[in-house]
Amino acid sequence: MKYLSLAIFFLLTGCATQAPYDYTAFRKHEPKSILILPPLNQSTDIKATYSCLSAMTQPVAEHGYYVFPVEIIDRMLKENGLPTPDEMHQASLKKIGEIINPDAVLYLNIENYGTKFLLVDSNTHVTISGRLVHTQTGTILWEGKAEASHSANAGQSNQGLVGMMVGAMVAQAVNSSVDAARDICRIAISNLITNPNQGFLKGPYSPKEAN
Amino acid sequence: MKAVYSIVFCLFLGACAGKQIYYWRNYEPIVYSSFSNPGKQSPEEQIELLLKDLDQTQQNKLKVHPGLYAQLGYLHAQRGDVQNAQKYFDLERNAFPESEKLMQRFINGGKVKKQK
Repeated sequence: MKYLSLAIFFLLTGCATQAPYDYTAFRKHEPKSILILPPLNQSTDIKATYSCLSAMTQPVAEHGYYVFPVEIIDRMLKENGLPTPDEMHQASLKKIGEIINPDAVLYLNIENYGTKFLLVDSNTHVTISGRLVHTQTGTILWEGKAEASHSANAGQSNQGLVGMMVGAMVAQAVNSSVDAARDICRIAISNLITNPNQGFLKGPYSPKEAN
Repeated sequence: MKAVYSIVFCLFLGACAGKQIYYWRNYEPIVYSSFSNPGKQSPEEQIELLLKDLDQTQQNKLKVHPGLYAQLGYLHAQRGDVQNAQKYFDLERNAFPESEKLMQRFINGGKVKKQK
């Protein structure tokens, strides 16, 4: 029985099933600075792009990278004729390199964002996918996808470790935040970036330790 | 169960055992506020909050996080305070040489530099 629950746990968290990411290109180009563009939004909630964007600097910076100031970049791009995330994502790497000069650009896509209200419960769910592209060569350094969710019915976690984390986060967040999905988004992006063997390698500002 | 929650919570925030590189408090909420409710907080209010962060960063002997100085420069620029804007853009590039090109562009300010 013990083994069974352990097995289920691994299955749910995906730890046991995924092979480590191939970091060859990532290691070769060793990005130090990352430009996070406002994410594309495929969800039905128009707030998703900017709610999520405002929760991304900390996780990426704490992973050891220089992160360009997201609000300033967004404003600058808008003032330069790129009013929407879709248009920003189509800006040429050459131009981005000339003006901002990041080592890599992080293109994100919010596939899912929002709260579903069910009969006895509500469920907030965020799914983000992304790719990190080397500015000078256009090489894809990394690609990934992560999700996080929270069920308002405390303790009814069916998500293994992630569910528990979200439970703990939301216990904190519920009184202090109007936009619960933003907190879930922060967790999704953390999962995306820091997931061992699947997320980013540690950046140069990370305290020295074996990667 | 409570213990498990708090351990997981700590692991998650990376806040335990002094593992965090930077001090974070007001920067992301300010950015969120500017995106979701522009004009609700004045540049002066935001500057005050960020200066508190700067103070706490120093008190906790942590490094200033990416974007904190730049945001201060940006807010001073919004107030028309060019001198302070340039000062903070300069601090950002000194702390993070990766931002050199962009900060230089901001420091040059209104002057339009033609790209070759």
